[in-house]
Amino acid sequence: MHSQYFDGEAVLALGDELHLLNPVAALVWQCCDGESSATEIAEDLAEVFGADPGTLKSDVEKAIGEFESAGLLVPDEDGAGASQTRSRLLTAYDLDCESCMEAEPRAFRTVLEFGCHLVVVGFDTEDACTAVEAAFSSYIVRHSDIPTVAHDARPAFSLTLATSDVDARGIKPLHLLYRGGEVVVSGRDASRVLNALASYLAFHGDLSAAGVVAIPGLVVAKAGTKPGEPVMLLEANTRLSGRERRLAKMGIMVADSPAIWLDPATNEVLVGAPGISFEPSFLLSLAEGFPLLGADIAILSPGRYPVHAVSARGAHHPLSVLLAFAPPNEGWPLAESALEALDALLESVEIIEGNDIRE
Amino acid sequence: MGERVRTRLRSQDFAATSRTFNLLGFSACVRSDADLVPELVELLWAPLLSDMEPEHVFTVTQSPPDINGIVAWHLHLDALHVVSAPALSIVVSHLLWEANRQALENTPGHALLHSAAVTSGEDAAIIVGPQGSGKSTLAVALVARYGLGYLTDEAVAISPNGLPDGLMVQPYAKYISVGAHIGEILPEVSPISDPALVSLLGELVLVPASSLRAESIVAAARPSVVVLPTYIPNAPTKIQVLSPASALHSVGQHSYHLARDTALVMDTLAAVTSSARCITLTSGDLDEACQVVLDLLSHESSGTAS
Repeated sequence: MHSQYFDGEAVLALGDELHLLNPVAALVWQCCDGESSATEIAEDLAEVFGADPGTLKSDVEKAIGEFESAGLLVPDEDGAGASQTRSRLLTAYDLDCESCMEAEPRAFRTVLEFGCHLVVVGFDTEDACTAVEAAFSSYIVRHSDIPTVAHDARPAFSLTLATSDVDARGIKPLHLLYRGGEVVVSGRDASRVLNALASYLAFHGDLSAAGVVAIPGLVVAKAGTKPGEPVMLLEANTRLSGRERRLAKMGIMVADSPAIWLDPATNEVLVGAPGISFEPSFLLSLAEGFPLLGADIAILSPGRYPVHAVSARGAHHPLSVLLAFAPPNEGWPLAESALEALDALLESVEIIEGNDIRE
Repeated sequence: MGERVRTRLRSQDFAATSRTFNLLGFSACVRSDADLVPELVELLWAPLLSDMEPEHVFTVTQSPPDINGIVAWHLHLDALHVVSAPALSIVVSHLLWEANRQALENTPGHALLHSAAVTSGEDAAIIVGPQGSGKSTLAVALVARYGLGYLTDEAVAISPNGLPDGLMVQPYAKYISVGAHIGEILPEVSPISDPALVSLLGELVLVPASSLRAESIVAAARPSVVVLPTYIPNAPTKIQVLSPASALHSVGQHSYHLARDTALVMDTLAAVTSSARCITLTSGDLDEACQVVLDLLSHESSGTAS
């Protein structure tokens, strides 16, 4: 809170809001020391101005009421001062987009902490919420530590877990992982959805502690590729969810992650959720009652894979490839480090012109 | 930007590269696969060009056609991705927007206002208001028609009172964004009309600052007048004098980084509103509105002289 006083009037700055106080309100504001009651403030002002305390009290109470409704005065709770050092709340993406606004509110939610972010995850059922909280128990934020804003925040991620019911076509519906209002991963294998959630959460965690940088793009490999065997990187110029399905139909395996995680020390990519340990059995036990139909998309198993090639359109020059894989200008973790690591990688791998999967 | 990436950015030839432009605390050049883009930005930022080594690099590149025959244009800042689009004009509009945003993000130690500013001698009039309030039109008219100096139409950067020169509005003589019908209101003003360059601007109608009037680009000046205009068609011209507190409350709504740099912004703007004449100006007549600002600045100049 910052205040400026001018000949009786005052202007208060709270965050990015400004409040103009008339001389009476400014005087009351200066008396609000967190200890004096409205009656005591009125008595003090009455003594200074020689006025009736009873008359002034209603003015003081009115001013204090306006301060409170404007958020200028807040209850003095223990530990409230610690809020400035708390992790930043990761809000849902594209909050203004129509599809996000239409997203169903989630009946259950939990708050997880990864790196410098608090992530709200929403669920349709209490069972799913409980299972994920158990799986990620070491990342749960205690209720007393959750900022007030997190209670009302739209989940950054949401899980819709399929029930044992079948749909109109006689098959079990998909498990869905939403980021904001968009389905980013779908599958009939519950473990796949949980792994994907962990991957997305890892993206907001402390990647430097895990020794990796994140690069926009897709890790692909021949069918049957196992950890330790070579993979290729493709620029992410289309939506992952539709593209991976096309790749799967060609027998090409993909990493189900929001980014390529590159270890600059070894030029290996990590598939999985670097820096995050979780216990998937809780969600799998929840899913045991479901007649799983198995994975419908070929997904690379978690592990380390050496990069043997990088492919991008316009890859006639390393700068073009660097730009093709460049992190966004904002909000990307370790963006500068990622660029440096990618540039170094390009000197040691094959660069392939074109980004047509059929080639 | 790391040295490795900086070296990589220099390693490829582009169709054209612009000179360095200095936007408040942000300096950059543009390297482009389309040779008209550097030409355009040099025209738009002509008063702000230098031959210094830029701290940052924008690249505008075109990728080859995909399997559907569609090409894409890409904009990067220091190799970080800003935008990709099928039309070059979209990329150019993002380039102009991003450069301005970087200017606002990379000018620490100043209170920044979304406003225009013009000068008369050593005195600056800050014209503050939301989009559509008429602040740019008023500023352009004061410069092109009434001979005042041009500081900016976008971002007023005010150095705080504690510095040796005291409160000063720094020059940021970028191009001016105007309405499509500016020629009917201000025939003195010449938006970019070269068809090749216009094709890069899409819907934007821009006036290079250097085309306003010879000698219109000026150095820093002290903030002596603050005007909050509201254009209402056919409305009579009215002014209302604001108290320092009311002016701070109104002007502060248009500040950048208030939440981040609260003390700097509040202290600096309070010093401005305490020392400057602050008014609201409602008018439907551009020349009458200009005359109000001219009178206020004239009063300040004579006050200083006496």
